[in-house]
Amino acid sequence: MAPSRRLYKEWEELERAQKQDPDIFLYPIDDNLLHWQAKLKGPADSPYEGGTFVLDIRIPNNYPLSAPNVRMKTKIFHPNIHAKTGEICLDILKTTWSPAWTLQSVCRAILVLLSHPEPDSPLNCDAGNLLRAGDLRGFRSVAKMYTVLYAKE
Amino acid sequence: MKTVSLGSLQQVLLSFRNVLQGGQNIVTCKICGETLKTPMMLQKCSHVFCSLCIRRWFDSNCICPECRIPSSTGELYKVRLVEDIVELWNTLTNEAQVLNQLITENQFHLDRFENVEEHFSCSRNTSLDLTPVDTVEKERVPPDTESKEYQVETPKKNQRKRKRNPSQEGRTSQKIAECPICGIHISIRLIQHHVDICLTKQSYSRESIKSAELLTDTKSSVDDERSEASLHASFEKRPTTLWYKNLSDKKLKDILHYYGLSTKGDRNALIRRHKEFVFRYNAELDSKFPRPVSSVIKDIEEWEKQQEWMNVSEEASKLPLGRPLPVNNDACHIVTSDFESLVQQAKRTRVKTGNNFCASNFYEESMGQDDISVFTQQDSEYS
Repeated sequence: MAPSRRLYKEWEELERAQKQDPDIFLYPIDDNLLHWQAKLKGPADSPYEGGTFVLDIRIPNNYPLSAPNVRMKTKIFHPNIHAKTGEICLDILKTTWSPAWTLQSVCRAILVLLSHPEPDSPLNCDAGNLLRAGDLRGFRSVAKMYTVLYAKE
Repeated sequence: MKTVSLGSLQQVLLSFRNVLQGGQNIVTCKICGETLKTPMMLQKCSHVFCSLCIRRWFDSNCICPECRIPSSTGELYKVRLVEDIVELWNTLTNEAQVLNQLITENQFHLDRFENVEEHFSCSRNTSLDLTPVDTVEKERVPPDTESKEYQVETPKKNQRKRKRNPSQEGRTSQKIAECPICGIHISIRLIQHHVDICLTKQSYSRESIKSAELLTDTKSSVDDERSEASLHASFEKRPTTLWYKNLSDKKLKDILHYYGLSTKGDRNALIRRHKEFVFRYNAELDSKFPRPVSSVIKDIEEWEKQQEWMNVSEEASKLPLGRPLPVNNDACHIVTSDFESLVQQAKRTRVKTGNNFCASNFYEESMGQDDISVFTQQDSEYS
């Protein structure tokens, strides 16, 4: 099954509903439907507020049957996002992917992950340890600093 | 003969179109994002997908894509009613496109009327008090039967509406609002009605969820059943992989040959081809009017070409732009050494047969690798 047809549908849907979700700006790069980029606005009431986070999304050949490859391009201090590679630890991107998810819903899930970190399965151990030790203030201040340094345009 | 006012007709058409747009979600397969093709229902959760899509999904997974309830290929059911409804839907949407055109054309006319109306209201505002006119118009409820009348009728009707809600002054008919529940764009005039429909739908679905929850509460053994089902599903799923593992290349090729498929490619390609054939074959069996196997085989050949092309394009996209393509060094070395020997030979011949300068130059440019041996032989003859 060619993924392009479904991706085209998703794109059409996005064009229609872009205004609906002001926090997510999702678009294909270079007219290539297999390579997308998303800009997420940092969720309010989180240390990422005010930042813009760029996602790099690669679509595999059997797309709706396997998950898209999503990486965070912006440097971020978050327990579930790798500090160097930008790999995102999210179950729906790995084991529990289902074809009913769309790129838009994946972005929404990542936004939720930003506001609700899961310190028990960390990719960034520093951030995870801070949270697990209960040092919420320390975590927030470091994350805030990263946001100010790297996520402000 | 009764004439219908253009405004009301348009309202009906618009609402019809919006209902159609809203319903598109229902008949869309959640996997491929297109209108359902040979819909198949899952036994436990009664979610519906295209036959081909869900069969491909079940090849590597054993849960429902929408609700994650464990299930497998064996639990797929044909529902002819759904198929018929989808067919009906397709014809409806085709008709709706014609309607769409009609609406856009009429929109144009309505704009013209509104301009006229503005003109009217301006003149009246200056000269007359509006309230008596309003009552007179209200009394004259049944529209006149003469066909000429309706052109005047629509602007007046609009005018009345405007007076009732002066806060919404402006071109209300053109303003489009978004339904907060389903997100459909709809004309402001119709939004109230539409939201009512949406709300009733939502409450209905919530009730159904509640009832489902109740059911799960009463049946404490449901979870056990599910775990059993998942075990069952994993058992059912396993044999396909095992089957391929136990199959020798020759046997696999025999099977492919038996069905009339090509036997080219490595083992992985063969397995992929066979799998795809089985998916498509089964999907054809599910459909109302199955096509012959030969057309399925043709489809698979087409599909493989596409797949190949996709792989090529993927490799191409992986290469970073702006950098030269990776060069095969061995091949490069061979070519340069050949070329150098060629040049040397050419030089030697030029020295020996000084008057053949032009010819040797010509050789240098046009000669390929095969000619070298010939040339060297000639060379040895010369020396």
